[in-house]
Amino acid sequence: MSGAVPVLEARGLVKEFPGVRALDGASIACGAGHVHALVGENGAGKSTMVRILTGNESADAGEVLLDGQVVRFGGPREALAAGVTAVYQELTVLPAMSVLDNVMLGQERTRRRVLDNRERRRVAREALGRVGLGDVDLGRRAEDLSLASRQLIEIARALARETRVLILDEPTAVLAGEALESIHRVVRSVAAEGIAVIYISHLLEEVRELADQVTVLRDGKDVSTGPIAAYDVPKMVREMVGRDVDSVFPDPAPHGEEVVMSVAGLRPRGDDGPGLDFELHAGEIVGLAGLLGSGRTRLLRTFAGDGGRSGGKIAVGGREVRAGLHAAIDAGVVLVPEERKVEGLALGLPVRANVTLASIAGIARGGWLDRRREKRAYEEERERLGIRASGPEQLTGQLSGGNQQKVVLAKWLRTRPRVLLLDEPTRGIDVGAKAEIYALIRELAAQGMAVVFASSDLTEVVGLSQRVLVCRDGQVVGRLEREDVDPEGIMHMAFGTGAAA
Amino acid sequence: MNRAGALASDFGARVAPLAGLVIVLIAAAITSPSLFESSNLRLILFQIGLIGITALGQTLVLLVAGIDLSVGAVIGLTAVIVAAHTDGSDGALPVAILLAAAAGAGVGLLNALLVIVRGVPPFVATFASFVLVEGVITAVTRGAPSGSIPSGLHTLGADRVAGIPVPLLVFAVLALVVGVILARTSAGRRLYATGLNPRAAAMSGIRTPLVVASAYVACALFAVLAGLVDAGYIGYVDAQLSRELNLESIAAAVIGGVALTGGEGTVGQTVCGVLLLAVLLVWMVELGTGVGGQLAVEGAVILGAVWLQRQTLSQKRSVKG
Repeated sequence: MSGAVPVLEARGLVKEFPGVRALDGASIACGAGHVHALVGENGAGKSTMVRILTGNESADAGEVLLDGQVVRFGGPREALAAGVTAVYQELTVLPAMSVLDNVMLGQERTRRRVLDNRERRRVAREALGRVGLGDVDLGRRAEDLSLASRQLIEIARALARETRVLILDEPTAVLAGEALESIHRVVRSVAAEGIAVIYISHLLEEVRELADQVTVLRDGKDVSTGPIAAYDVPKMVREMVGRDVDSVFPDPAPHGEEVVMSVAGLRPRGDDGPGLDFELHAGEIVGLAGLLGSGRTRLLRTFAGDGGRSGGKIAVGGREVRAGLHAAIDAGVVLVPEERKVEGLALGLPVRANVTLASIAGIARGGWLDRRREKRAYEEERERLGIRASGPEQLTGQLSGGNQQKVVLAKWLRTRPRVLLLDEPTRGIDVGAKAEIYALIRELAAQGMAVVFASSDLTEVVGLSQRVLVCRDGQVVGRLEREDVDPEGIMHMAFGTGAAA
Repeated sequence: MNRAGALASDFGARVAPLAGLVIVLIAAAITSPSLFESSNLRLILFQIGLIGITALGQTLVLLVAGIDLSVGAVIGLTAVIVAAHTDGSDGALPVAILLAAAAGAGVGLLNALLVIVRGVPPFVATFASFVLVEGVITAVTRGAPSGSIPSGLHTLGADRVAGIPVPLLVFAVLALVVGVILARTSAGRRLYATGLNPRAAAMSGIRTPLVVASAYVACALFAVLAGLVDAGYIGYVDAQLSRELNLESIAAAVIGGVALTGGEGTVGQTVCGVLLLAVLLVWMVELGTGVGGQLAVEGAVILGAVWLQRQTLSQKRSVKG
């Protein structure tokens, strides 16, 4: 940027949500023609920052400057009008609509209130040309295109406007190989046009290759920023985590010999692969790694009896477990789901009622609730898990994400499970609570519980697991013991590029 | 959650119906003192019993995020079955009651089946049942129901015990039973959990289809009971009259503060809503507003109640973030 006024700048942004301080004085400055990478762990505040920059959220404190002038976006439309556009990982392309309609979505050109198709086609054609899709049929339905092309259509939609700042939120998270390259090419050429690009990615190698500048967010603060040349991957990781990974994740105790769960030729519903063979030991923690849509969640859910099997067997403690949620729960296999608010908790019930949600029969005597027993159960779990609530009667919806997650754990621990399955155990949880959840998982394993968790947070997978299974295209494509686990090796397996390190 | 928000939501859900009841009672006492004379009082107490019984069943369905628009049809069906089977003979009454209960349970099961298995919105499913049952009644009876109501039912509908109308007693006992089940048993807990978050409840091992089906069947059986009470009170078959109970049973629960979105509400709130609605209805008759005025006031009160609920809901949302 060398002296020039940055196109878009944020200074000292603060944003608080109930229970979480998502941003705590974060700043960033992006110059025209630069690719500025924004990196950080899940929950570091990246998406909150994007939401503020795009007018979807207003900051509690701090300011946003456009060309050095303070601006205050009242909503996303004002940000768009000012030339700040974001493209998110979750595609907003409408599958049943044509390429043309998708590119022009939200910015219709009309003449006397009727769609001006000639003008629309011209604008769309031009924007598509800039993302390398110049020869795509405008009338084609978006669902017939590849994932990468749909991602490019999103970018074209942004370019069809007068965009000066393009924010890309993990555009390559689900892409690999040539598709990845095509996105990179577009990012470079867009920057070369003089547009400021903010690029969010978890793939630090990619960031090294693509970005000019980098800003690292941690706990809602920008802890480090500078030209990319000054950063290598280990340095970025250090800045993101804020300490040596080893201190958060001490080496786990060795697991027991006893096989708790054994899986033979297991194929989740819709899977026509060779099937999974897998043994899980008492006290063992196994991480499932893989990209979004790689099948980690499906595998976890099949273990939990949710979603059905195409074939194969699961046995717990030597006894076969039929497919089905109830059979799995009865066998002591329980799932802490990713969407805890949707699948884990009844937010409108008091905390005590969620703690006993899965073990209500044990709280009741002949159908009658024993309130004292329920309160005792709550107190036990509060103490064991460190749940911070004002009391057993507090509504669960009022707790912070980390405490809600502890309540989900408590709910299952009341049933004395043998196998604990967790899907994205720390998503949406702030850093302090994360460490507590990790310690809990370790503690439970040390007491003999077998744990399988799926996570897209590589730091978490590498740090917590004794063994890692890597998923790709619905199959387990790699198995790594703790001493062989490293983030890049996992990424290569997950993408199917090159040999494992 | 901030304290003011908590107070406001408590006010909306709990205090408002009670305050409304007091206001209506005072206003009614001032404008039509005759309301509390014995003949009117008897009508009010009967209304409380009849609406109350249906509102209890409706509460169960509302708690699992459903709604039952077939209540009125089941009430009519009950009267028709009893009249046709007994033709006024007390001896045939037990079997007639069993037949009516079976028919009611059938309608409840049909509702549950549509809602659970086919995922039909409860509003549509139960309205279809309503139309279906009404249609069958009209087709079979050709609009003129045969038979007559046995005098034995008179005891249930119009007698008094210690000066208290039997329907009111029946309602009081049922309210107590349902209230205790909801608040103090694991079955009640499962009902609330299912209504608040069916997915989380199912994932926690609760057999939610069974819970939902129980609510619909119980609601239909309560409607059968209301049908017996109604037939006993008026002493003849009138399938038309019972239709209003569709709306009134829902109105009573909602006015009391039972949420249309499921999982929120208590029997105490429903009882409060029933009292409020019954007084309001008879008061309107006293004022000579006619059926139109009655309906208009009823509608306005429901709107007010729903308005209050939505407000408190949005407060909760903002708290949950």
